[in-house]
Amino acid sequence: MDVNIYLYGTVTMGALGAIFAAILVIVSRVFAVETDPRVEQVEEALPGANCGACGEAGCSSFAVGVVEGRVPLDGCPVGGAALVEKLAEIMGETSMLGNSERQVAHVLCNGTRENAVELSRYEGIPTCVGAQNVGGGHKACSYGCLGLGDCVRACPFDAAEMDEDGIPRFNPARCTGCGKCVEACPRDIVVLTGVSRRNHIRCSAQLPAKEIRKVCKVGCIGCRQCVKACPEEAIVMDGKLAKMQYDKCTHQNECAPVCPMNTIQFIPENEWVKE
Amino acid sequence: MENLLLLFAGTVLINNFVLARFLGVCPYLGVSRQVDTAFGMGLATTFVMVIASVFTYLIYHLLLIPFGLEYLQIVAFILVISSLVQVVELFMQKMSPSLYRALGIFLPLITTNCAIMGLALLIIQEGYQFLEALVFALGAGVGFTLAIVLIAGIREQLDIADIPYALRGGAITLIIAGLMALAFSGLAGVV
Repeated sequence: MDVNIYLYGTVTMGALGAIFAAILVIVSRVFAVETDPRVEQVEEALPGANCGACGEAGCSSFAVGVVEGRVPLDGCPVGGAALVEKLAEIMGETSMLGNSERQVAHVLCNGTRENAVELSRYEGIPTCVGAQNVGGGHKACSYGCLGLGDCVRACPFDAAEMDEDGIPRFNPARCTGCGKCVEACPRDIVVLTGVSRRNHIRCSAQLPAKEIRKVCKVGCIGCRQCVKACPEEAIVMDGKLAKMQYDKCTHQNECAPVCPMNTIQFIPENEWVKE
Repeated sequence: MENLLLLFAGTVLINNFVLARFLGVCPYLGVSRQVDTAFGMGLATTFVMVIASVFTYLIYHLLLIPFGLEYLQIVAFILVISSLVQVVELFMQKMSPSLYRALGIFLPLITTNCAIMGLALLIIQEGYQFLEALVFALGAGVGFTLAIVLIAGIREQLDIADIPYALRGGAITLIIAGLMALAFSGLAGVV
């Protein structure tokens, strides 16, 4: 048995390793590419199993997709809800480009069971889309909330819940502004606004005053009182409906007291954030 | 020349790396949900296979044999393949971002793909010459691409098929993989 074989083996392998390491160092210096630091953060938060269950090639590819906005935050079936929260934290502020404020969801309707007239009792598939497809819904107002919770079910963060009065409430402390509820609503009455916005015109009905009074106790009758009252001219008429321009509103709350129908809501500070 | 063609066809269809030798089954099942990504994975694997076969061949014949270190081939090949893939990835990221986006994301996965290591070891075991090794590597890559694109196509159809509840997901995929291997085994002995 030749002793040299140990020597050769050690030296050759050592040299190979050293050479490759040197090449790698040089190449990584020469070909360094700046990447979005969030990609690394997202990749660190991921389980790292590279299982491909998300449909991407692996965790790093998933991370790139998340940062590019191509892949949904809840796309990783392994990580579950805890991971979604982490990713939302990493992506949170920048998911709404050009707007530094965090976005949260609001429903622009206050047609509770008490306020809104119901035409019929709906006993079909318990979803808003289902009700909408059966003769245009069971509520007299064809613009208002159907109250069957499509938005609540769409929410990946448990931020929405259906109140006992049949209107969903969104918890701004949990809402990440992902917009899933906005997409889910068949009547398009869920909107995203900045988390600090406190005046909301909670009606979406383009109906003349006479019709409104027949179908809802708190619908906008288009009287323009709020338009006149607003010192910032933040409220404009959109057809028969008053519309809030959130970027102009300064929360002086001149509008809510003058509304004869109590359509305009003023949220006192931290009412919902307290949880 | 005829030998090389036969070797190529045989590697692609008959001794298919995935379906006959059962090498590289991990990406075959993992990255086969969409035809697009499956094709990208196939291309990247082919690319790495060809390059890795060149380097492992040279290392083996110019370094390991002269020093009588054949018993270290696995260690040496791991070193070569993983470093090589890293270098290629870094190079690609800088020089050709579009190619990197198409292939690069698959490269780190391929480093640990047993099909690559299997290829390097098979080349030595079969005693191929340099040119034969190249053709063998190309055939292996094309065969892998063929297999993974085929199963991805089937899985895309399965997404809209009415599969019994108990078989959904991984179970049906394994059954499909088995059926494909059976189908390809029908070609055994042709070349």
